[in-house]
Amino acid sequence: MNANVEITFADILASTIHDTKNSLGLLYNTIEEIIIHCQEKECQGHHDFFTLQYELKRLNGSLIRLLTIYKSQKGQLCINIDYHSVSDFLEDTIIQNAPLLESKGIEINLDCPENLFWVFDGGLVAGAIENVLNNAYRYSKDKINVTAGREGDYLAIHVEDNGRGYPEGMLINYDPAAGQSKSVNFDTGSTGLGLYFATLIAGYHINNNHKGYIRMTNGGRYGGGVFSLYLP
Amino acid sequence: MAIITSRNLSNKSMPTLDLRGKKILIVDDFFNFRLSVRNMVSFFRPKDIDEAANGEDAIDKISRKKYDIILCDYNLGLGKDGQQVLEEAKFNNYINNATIFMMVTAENTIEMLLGALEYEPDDYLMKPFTRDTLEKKIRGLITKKEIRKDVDQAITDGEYENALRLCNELIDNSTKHLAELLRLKGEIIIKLGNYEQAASFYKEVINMGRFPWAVLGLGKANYLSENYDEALCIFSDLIKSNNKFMPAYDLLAKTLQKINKNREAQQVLINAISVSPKAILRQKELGDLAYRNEDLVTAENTFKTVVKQGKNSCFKTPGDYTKLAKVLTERDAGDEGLLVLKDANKEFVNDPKAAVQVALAESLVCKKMNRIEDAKKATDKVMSILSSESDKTSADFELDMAKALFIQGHGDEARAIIRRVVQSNHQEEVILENIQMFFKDLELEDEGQKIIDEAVEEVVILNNEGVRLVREGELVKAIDYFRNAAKRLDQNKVINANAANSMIVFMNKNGVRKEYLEDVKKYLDRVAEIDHEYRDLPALLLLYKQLLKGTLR
Repeated sequence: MNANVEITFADILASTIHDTKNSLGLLYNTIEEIIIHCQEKECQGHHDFFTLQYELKRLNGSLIRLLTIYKSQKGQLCINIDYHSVSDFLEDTIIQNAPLLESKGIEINLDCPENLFWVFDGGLVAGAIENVLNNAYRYSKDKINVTAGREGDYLAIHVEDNGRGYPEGMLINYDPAAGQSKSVNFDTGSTGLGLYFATLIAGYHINNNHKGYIRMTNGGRYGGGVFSLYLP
Repeated sequence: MAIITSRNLSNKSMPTLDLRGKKILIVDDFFNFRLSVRNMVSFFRPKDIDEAANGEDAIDKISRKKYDIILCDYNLGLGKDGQQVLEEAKFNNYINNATIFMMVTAENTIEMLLGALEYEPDDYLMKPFTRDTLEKKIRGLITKKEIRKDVDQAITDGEYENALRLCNELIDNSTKHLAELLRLKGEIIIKLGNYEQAASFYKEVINMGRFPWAVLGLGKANYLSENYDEALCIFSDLIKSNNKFMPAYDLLAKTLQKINKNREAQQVLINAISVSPKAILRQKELGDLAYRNEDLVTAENTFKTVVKQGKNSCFKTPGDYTKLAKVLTERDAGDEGLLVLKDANKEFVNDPKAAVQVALAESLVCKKMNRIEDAKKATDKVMSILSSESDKTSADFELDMAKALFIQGHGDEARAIIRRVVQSNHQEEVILENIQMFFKDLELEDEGQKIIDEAVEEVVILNNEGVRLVREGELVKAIDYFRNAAKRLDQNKVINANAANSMIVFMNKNGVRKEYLEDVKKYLDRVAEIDHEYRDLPALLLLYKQLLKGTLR
């Protein structure tokens, strides 16, 4: 009986999330219009709207993550892979976040060969990358670098920032040859949930016995945090 | 500018998307959302931006104006949903290959593969989206449509060989739209009837990645080459990994029926409908299947749903009503059945074909209820409508006539007509099934089966003899033989195709003869007229064209 009640509550939660997402969507677009309007008129203080928009985006992203995890746990999450131009895909994702990053004076740089194509679930991977960009927005000083390229049997996407780097406890130095990833530490709050999500998404990508994974290290070209997503 | 990249970010460097002269329709039940999207697209300066607040309004607008771009929300409240709008628009040819139809959804795209494959939108837009995203998507779709334009045209014209050649050229030159083109290529190979080739093609694609469409294609190729066990595994796996991938249910149900697991097939369709309750075509399948399985309760409930949903659907047919009436009669609710038929007459005004079907059903219901006078009245009505029919050669017409004659007691006349129809259509399962059903309704199943079997057997023997002559190289005899056969069975596509084939084989061996070329054309035209999707037709047409070219050289 108890189990039944729990499932029902989860379902109600999920459908409420749907509903909330719709409202958020409207809110988001309204702010988008205000921003465009403001930019045309060059009115003061439209930067505040960016912050508003940023938080909305974060909310929306969190809700999508929740829904995805909910589905994953119910065994309903299915992967919808497609063939993507990696540079187009990353550009799309960056463009969506660019105005926000610009507003904070963060310079974002994309480094990806144009003739690189890969097979993956665009929606899910975009969600994971956006989450990382959102984090970088918060923690980077003024630079973010996105690099993508083929590394062995994997497509590797690295997001580097010039912030202070990830705290020691969050680092994941996974090596597929050694196996066994370290589990995500939830003490870090929403960031932990975001990472759990990224791990989940990476793991859903399986190709020729290779499984996707993530790494979180410090260093890179700016000496800040480096998030890496590996897709087979 | 904050973005520095190793190359220019395309939206930033390209001129703004220019939609001048274009007509756009925004469909959403929320006023605010329509307004917001309107503001977004007005930036690209289109000619018209129209709005619709529900599915019915959308269909009405789409039927009257040729839109270039339709942005349609999936969830439209109580009436038609976005998928139904798309199906109806495509089914009625209100939109074509050039129209961009984007489904706007509140969540991940994979949730949305609710329709059949041929009713897929061009792309999905997840709420919320920004103007940049919209611009990028529209730009991409315009390019994609432009790239595949010629291939699509060749497919529409039935020139599959040509379509395949064009598609291969594009695949060699365009990496960007590779997946799209590979998908198209698979569809063309299937259309060409090369199912083994299609299977190995899809396997190659799956090596790149397990694209759902490629896995489905592999299953379909197996199904069509009658590897039902293999197909069964593939479709079941697809559903297991994504319970909303509706085309997999439809094909799984078909496969199960092929191996006589009709009960399981019925369950598959019931599962599919619980996921996607508004898909009326699938409901019809279920009704038919349940009836065949003699599960009259399910059949009745399903046909009732079909009739109810059909009221606002382009897929409404008189058959929905007559089937419901039939089931009701068999469940001893004949009076309710007659009411359903009355309703059908109101629903299909000025439609003589529908009136014939309904009146025939009425006469059968009355006969079952032992109301002989009423049955006669209904058949008289059938005869009188048929007598004013202009096309008196179609199989449908002849069958309706035969049925009316049969019910009125003119059995011999009716049998002769039915025999002729069977012989002209000895491979047409739909028509043969229709005849079987009729005899079943009259509780003369065995007699019906006998008439069909005998008539089919005669044609098969006739055809086989001709095929044997061709195989043994007795080409002159074979040509003569098929000419006679085609004279007698001029509406039989197999005989006509074989008549053409015997002449083609002859000319390939002995050189072109003008009178044969003319005959080949005549026979192939006939085949195309009877069934333009006949399996051997593309190959025969190709051979014919090659011979024709030979004469010009």
